[in-house]
Amino acid sequence: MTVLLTVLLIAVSAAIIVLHALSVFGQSRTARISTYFSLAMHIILFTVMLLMALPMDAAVLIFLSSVLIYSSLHALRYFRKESGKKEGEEA
Amino acid sequence: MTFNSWEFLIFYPLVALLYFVLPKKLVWPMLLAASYYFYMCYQPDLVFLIVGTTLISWIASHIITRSANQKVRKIWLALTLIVCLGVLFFYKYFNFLAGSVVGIIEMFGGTPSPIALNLILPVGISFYTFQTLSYVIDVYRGDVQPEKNFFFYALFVSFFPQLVAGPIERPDNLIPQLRERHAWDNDNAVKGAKHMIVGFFKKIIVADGISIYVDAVYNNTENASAFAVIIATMLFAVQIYCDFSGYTDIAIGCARIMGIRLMQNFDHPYMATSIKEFWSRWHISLSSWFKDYLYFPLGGSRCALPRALMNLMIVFLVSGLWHGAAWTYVIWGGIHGIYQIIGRLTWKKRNALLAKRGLSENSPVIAWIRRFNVFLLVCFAWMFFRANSTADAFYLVGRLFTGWDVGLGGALAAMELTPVAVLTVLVSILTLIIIDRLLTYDDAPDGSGMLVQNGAFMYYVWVILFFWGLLLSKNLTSTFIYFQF
Repeated sequence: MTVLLTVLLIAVSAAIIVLHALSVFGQSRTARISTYFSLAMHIILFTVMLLMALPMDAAVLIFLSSVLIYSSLHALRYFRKESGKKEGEEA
Repeated sequence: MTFNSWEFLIFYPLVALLYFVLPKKLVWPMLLAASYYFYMCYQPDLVFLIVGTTLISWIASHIITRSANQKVRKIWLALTLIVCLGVLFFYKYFNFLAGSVVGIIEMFGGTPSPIALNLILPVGISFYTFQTLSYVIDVYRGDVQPEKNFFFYALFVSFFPQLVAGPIERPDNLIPQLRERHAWDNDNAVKGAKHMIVGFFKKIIVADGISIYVDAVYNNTENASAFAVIIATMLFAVQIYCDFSGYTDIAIGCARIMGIRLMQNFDHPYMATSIKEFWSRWHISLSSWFKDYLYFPLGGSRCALPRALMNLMIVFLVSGLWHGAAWTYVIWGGIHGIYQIIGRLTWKKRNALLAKRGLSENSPVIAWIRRFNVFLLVCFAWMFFRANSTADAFYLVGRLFTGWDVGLGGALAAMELTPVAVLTVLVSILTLIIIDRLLTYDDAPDGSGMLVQNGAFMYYVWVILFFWGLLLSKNLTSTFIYFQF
C-alpha cells in the first residue's frame, strides 16, 4: 500500500510539473487549460493527503516545491524573452 | 483586524466596492469612516489619541500659515511638536524612562520604589505621529498649503492601508491623491492585487513559517548553541523583512486598487553593498523622514567631520528608540550608527586598497562579497533587535564565542528543524527571492509579467488560501512585528 501511495505521489507530482511547464511555456489556450488542471490536481492531492492523515509538513514541502518550480519556470521564461529581445535589438 | 484576518477579507472588498460605486462627495467620508472603523477594531478606547493629534496639528497648521509673526509661528510649531511627541513619549516611553531611572538609582545603592503605569501602547502611534509632524513642519516651511477641511485632513492621517505600520506618507504625495476621484482601472487593479498577493506570500508563508524556529532560540536563550544563534539570527533577518515588507506590499496593493499610489518602502535591502545603501533600501519612508526632519536640520554632512559623524549617530540612536522603548533597540540603532561612521571614515581607503590590487569596486565579485558582509553586519545588529532583553542579547553574542560544544545537527534538533522543515525553509526562501524579483520584472509594459496572467494569479491566490487555512486550522494567529512600534 505504501509503495503504491509513493508511486502515486511521484506520478501526480510529475504530472503537476509537466502541467506547470505547459502553463508557462504553452500557447495561451494550452497554458490556461494546464493551469486549471494543475490547480485541480493540487486540490485533489492535498485532499487525499488530508483524508489519509499524512503529515502536513510533507504536504507543505510538496506545495512549496511546486510554487518554487512554477515561479522558477516563469523567471526562466522572462529571461528567455528578455535575452531574445536583446538579440533582436542587436540584430 | 489585521490584513491577515478573515474580517479583512470582508472589510476590504466592501470598502473598495463602495469607493467605486459612491458619488464623489461621499467617497472620502466613507474612507474616513472605514479608516476609523479599521483602527477601532484594534483599540476603540484609544481612538481619542489619533483624533486629538489630528485636531491639534490641523489647528496649528492654520495658525502657522495665517500668522505673519515669526515668533507666533515658531511657538505653534513647538507646541505641536511638544503635544504630539509628548503623547508618543507618555504612552511609549514613560515606563521605559522610569524603569531606567530606577535602575540607575539602584546601581548607586539607592532603593527607590518602582514606578510603572499600566499603559497600553496605542497601535501605530509612531507612524501616525510622524505623519502629522511631517505635515505641520512642511506647512511651517511653506512647502505645503494647510488642508482647509478638517475631516479631509483626518483622512490623510488615518488612511487605513498605511495607518498602523506605514509607509509614513508625506502630505504632498497622499493628500492630492485622496482628493482625486479614481475610476476603476484594470491596470491598477491587477498591479494592486499582485502586490497584495506577494505581500500575503511573504507574511503568511515565509515570515510566519520561519518565526517558530527563531522563537525557539530567542525565547529560550539558555540552551542556545552558537550554530543555533547563527541560524536563528539569519532566519530572523528573513522573517522581519518578509513580515514588514509583506505588510507594506499589502498596504500598497490595497491603495493601488483604489488608484492611490503609496510610496515604496523596501527595495531589496539585502542586495545592498554598503550599510549606507542598506538604509536607502530598508524602511525608506522612515529613513527619508529622519533625513529630512532630523539629519538635515542637525547640519547633515555639510559641517565639520566630527559634527557630521555625531549627526549620523544621533539619527540612528533616535531611529533605534523610535522602534521600541527598550535598550535593545537603542543599541541596535547605535550599532548601525557605528557601522555608518566606520563606513564613512574608511571608504576611501577601502577603494584605494582595491585599486592597488587592480580590482574594481564595481566588479560583480566585489559586489557580492560586499553584499555578504553587509548581510552579516545587519544580522549581528538584528540580534539586539530581536532579543527579549539586553542581557539576553549579550548572552547570545557571548554564545557565538563559547557555544561551539553542540554541532550543527544538535542545533537543528534543538530548534526542531527536522530535515523536512529545513527543506521547507530553504524552498520558501528561494521562492521568496524569485517572487520578489518577478514582482520587479512584472511591471513589463507589454503585460508579459507572471502575475498579470490570470492562471498564475489564480495559482498564487490558491497557494495563499491553502497556507492561510493551514495557519487557522492550527489556531495560529499572528500579528505583524512592526505593529508594536
